Amino acid sequence: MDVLLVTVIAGPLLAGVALPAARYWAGASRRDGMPIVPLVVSTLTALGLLVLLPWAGSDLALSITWLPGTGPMAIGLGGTGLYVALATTGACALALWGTRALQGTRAKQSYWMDVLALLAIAAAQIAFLAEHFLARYVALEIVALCVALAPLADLQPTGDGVNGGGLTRLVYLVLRLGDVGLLVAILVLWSVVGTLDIAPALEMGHTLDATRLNWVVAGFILAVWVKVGGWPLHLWLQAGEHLSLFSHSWLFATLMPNLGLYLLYRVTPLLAHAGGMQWAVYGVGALGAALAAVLALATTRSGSRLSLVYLGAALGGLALLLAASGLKTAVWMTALVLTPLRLLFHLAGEPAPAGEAVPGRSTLARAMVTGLYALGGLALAGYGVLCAWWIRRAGAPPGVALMAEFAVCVIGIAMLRSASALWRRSHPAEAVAREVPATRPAQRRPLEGLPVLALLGGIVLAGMLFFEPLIGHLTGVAHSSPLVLPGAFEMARYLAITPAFWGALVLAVVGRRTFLRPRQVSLEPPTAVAGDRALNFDQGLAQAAQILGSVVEVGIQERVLGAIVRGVLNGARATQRIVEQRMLNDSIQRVSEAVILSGRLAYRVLEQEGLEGLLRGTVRAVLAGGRRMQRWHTGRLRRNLSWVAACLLLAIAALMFYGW
Amino acid sequence: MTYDHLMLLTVLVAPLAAALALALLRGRATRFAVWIAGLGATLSLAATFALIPALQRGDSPSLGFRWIPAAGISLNLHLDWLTLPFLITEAAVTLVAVLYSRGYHHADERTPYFYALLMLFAVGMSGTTLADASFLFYVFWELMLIASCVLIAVWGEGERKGAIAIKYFIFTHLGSLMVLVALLMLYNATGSDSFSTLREGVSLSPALVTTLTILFLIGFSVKMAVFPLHLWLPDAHTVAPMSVTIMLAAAMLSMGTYGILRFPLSIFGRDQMMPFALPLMIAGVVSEIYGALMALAEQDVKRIVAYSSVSQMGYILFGLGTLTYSGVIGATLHVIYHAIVKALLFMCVGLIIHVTGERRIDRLGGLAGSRLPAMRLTAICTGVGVLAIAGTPPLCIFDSEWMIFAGGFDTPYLTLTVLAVLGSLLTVAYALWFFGRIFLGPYKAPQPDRPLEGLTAGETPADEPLAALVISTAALAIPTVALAILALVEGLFPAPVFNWVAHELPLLLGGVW
Repeated sequence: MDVLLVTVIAGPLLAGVALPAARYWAGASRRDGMPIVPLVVSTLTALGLLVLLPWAGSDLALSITWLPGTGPMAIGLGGTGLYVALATTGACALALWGTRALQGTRAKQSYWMDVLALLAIAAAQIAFLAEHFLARYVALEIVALCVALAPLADLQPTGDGVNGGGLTRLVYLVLRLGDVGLLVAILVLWSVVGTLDIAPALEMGHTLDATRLNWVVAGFILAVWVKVGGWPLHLWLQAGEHLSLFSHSWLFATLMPNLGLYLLYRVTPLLAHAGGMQWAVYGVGALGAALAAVLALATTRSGSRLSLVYLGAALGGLALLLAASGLKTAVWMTALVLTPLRLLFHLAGEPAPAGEAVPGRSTLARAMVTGLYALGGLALAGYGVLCAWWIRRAGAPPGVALMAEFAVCVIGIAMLRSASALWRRSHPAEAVAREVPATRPAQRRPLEGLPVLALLGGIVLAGMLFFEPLIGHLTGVAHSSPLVLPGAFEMARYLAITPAFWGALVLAVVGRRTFLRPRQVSLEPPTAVAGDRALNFDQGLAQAAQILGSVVEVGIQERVLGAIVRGVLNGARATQRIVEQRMLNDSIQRVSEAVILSGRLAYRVLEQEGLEGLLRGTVRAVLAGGRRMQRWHTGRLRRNLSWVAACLLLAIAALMFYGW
Repeated sequence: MTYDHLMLLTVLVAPLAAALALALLRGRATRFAVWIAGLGATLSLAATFALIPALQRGDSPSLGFRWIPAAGISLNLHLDWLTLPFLITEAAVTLVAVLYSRGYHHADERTPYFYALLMLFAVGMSGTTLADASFLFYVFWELMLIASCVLIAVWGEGERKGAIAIKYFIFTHLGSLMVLVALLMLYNATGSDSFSTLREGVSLSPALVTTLTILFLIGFSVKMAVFPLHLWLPDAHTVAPMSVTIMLAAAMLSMGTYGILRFPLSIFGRDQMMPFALPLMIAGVVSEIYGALMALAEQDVKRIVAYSSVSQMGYILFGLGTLTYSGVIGATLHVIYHAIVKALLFMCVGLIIHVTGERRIDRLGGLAGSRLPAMRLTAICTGVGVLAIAGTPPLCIFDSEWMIFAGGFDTPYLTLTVLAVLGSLLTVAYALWFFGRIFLGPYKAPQPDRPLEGLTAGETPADEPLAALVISTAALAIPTVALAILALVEGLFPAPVFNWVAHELPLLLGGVW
């Protein structure tokens, strides 16, 4: 089994590394067959993980030492990680299959995208299976890089339209923000507990002092919130809207949120000890879920992908509430439950491109697609209700529980509206009328994608039908106390006494005409003073939500974001201007001028007046003395010379006299 | 003379001999000057590696000659585990810079002098790290400055090269003077200029310890170009010829770190250094953030990379300031990895300038998709460089940043460390911005204001005969690709270098960890 464990990691990795080289060396005919490689590799990897399932929770582990001092990094077969890895990898295979089936051979995926997908699969296995914080961090960073590079692989650089480079920068920066949080959490935890092994480190987490524990929890929650695309950190997820169906549906909407949810599952026990930070988590989760759900409702008519982005954000908020309530297993199960649902929504909800308006699509096919979408919506709404019930039952503050119920209720309405919009949008006339970005890939072939959608629908239906045994099995795998499921009576009672669900019921009844009466859908964003505001309540609510969305998202959020970006850049430039040019350079210049000035002064005072004056005086004195000396000396010399001459003459005369 | 002594001498003598040979041969050596210099640099690097077994045996190769007996001054060379990482970095960077010069530097009759000065610059750096006596240390320290200053003044780009060379000289010389004053005070207090004596422990008054530490820290911080002592760096890096810029950024900046490790951290104990921990960490964070902001604000590609050095030196200073096992190891590792990545980035910038003739980032764009030679390869190498500088695993700088931040969290200053980690986001921002503006988006045809060396007015390098451009570009690309691979390999297999660096710890802060 060791070999199989290595293979599920190394297989995609080697395939990803080898693919560019193989493509370079292969002939044109072989190159055409290469797009199948990611599908085959991801399917085989998923099968490998399936084979490993019986060993889930065993001691089987690989261990490598990488950075000295951080201890051996173990990659094991922890039950929960294995299940999420299987779900995510299987989703990758289905997404690749579904994308190819739905878009046909004309929608060729960039082979760089294939490489990124393979590398992301390999890194995701490590991220899910690693029992070591460093290994998990590195794997998460690599996945983040793959996600960030997807816009570059998917979008061609053009002078106008969507800029792949800009999206890459945005995605990577936001994801790195989350990783900064994760890094802070890991390092603070490590500094106290002294180990990077996840299980023991988290077990000892409660021994941290309050300050450090708050940093740890804040860091982990920031990382989770970014990865699940929680509002307002969903901007990276929103960037995926412009990409290919596969990139958006798997890399952006499935892989990264699953990594976030699994991280949340692992760190959930710490929240119980976090005191005030737990309340902050409640607040972030509740507000994030409610606001994102409203925005999801607001954008159901603007496009399936955008609505799904907000839906993901709302579900992330719900997961955070589950974690804050201590429902660890429910967090993990949320990742498993949402995986097929997200994929189903993305594949079924993908619109037909303009000008290629599904001539062969039959009403039956449309009905099947819409039905599968609605089935997914029903499953999601049901699971949402269950989550809300768990949250209330776990003793969450009443306001938080109410917000969760409100979010679930709005999610349910949003799903119904999405299904309705999907039914109408796939109508040929409306499909032609709909404006679709030019970057969207090619032709949709209505029936070829149905097997994938049917398979996903089957998985969802099986999950709904066998939910109770499934929960029993999963809680067994997670070695946790079984999650309580409400009976039919208790659920009915809960629904009956919950104001938010009553509101939902009213909305559903009042707004049923929306779903029954076919009408022309205005695809323009509704204005605040629409003429038919009295038509039905949910339409009005949706319009209000859209206005809220446009105000918050475009009016505030984008402006705030723009202001932040401008602020940072202008701040940097201003800092440069002020600090570099004015303060530092000016001060340097002033200092230089002062030095030069003082130098000149010193020169004048010391050199010209002092030293030079002294020198001049000295020279004058020397010269004067010299002249005097010269005069004196010369005179004396002259006299001396006379004396010498006289003496010499006298001596000669004396010698001559003596000699003679 | 033993084998180790021979190797120790070779580290210094090989580049010195190359410099002398080049100076003597003058114009006759123009064509093969690069090979002579390359041989000197290769021998120096090989000799450095040849000394590692001695260190692993527990020896510390030393060599000493009496120089001025009356003053007790001698020529002592010494290799220990603290010296090794810096010595390898300098020798390797010198070799890479010489190889890169082959493609970048237009040969003329002055070329032998250019390479001779490069070799003297290398001798200065190697000598500084090998010196085991204060006097010798300072001689090599100034040799390094003089050689680099002449290189900038004579071979620099632009009309302001003379003024900038003087600015560089004065600024760094002020730092050197502080170091000199500290060395003289230390000599006066201990009566010995030998590092070996200092390592054995000195007993100084607290006031003197404080004074010496302040002088050393400020003096060496000038060399590190930490904010606000960095003003010489952007200009010098921008004006210097590319191979000199590589040596300045990748090797010479590390001399400041070496100085801090060799003097205050080696001589004084943890208790004596503790009061300086927080100021060093704050200075590190400020420099990290400030440098990154300046890199975001700049438009000249060379200055962007230059300001990134200010930011990266902030990481190093922060790591040193933690005075923890992880922080100090991380800082030393960061010196090595920063050298690799910064040399890589400057080489990529050199390739971009070489091919497009353009230095302003707002006039560049879409080069990854252009048909200009080697631009796709440059894009990949730059991508590796920017991801590395952004601390993305598994590239090398991630390892050192991990250790530095881990060191920060081992101190009581949690908020400051969180600020340092958050500051790394700015590094990511400028790195991505730098890459995105140059290589992504729609292609902008280069339109340089003034022709580069060797080209006529109105002619861009892309107008050169294709074969000539391809050949010169290939000469630049080969060392660039090698460094990109090294950045990845070092990131994947950090253990050997980590273990070398870890050996330095017993030599620091009294060996108590």
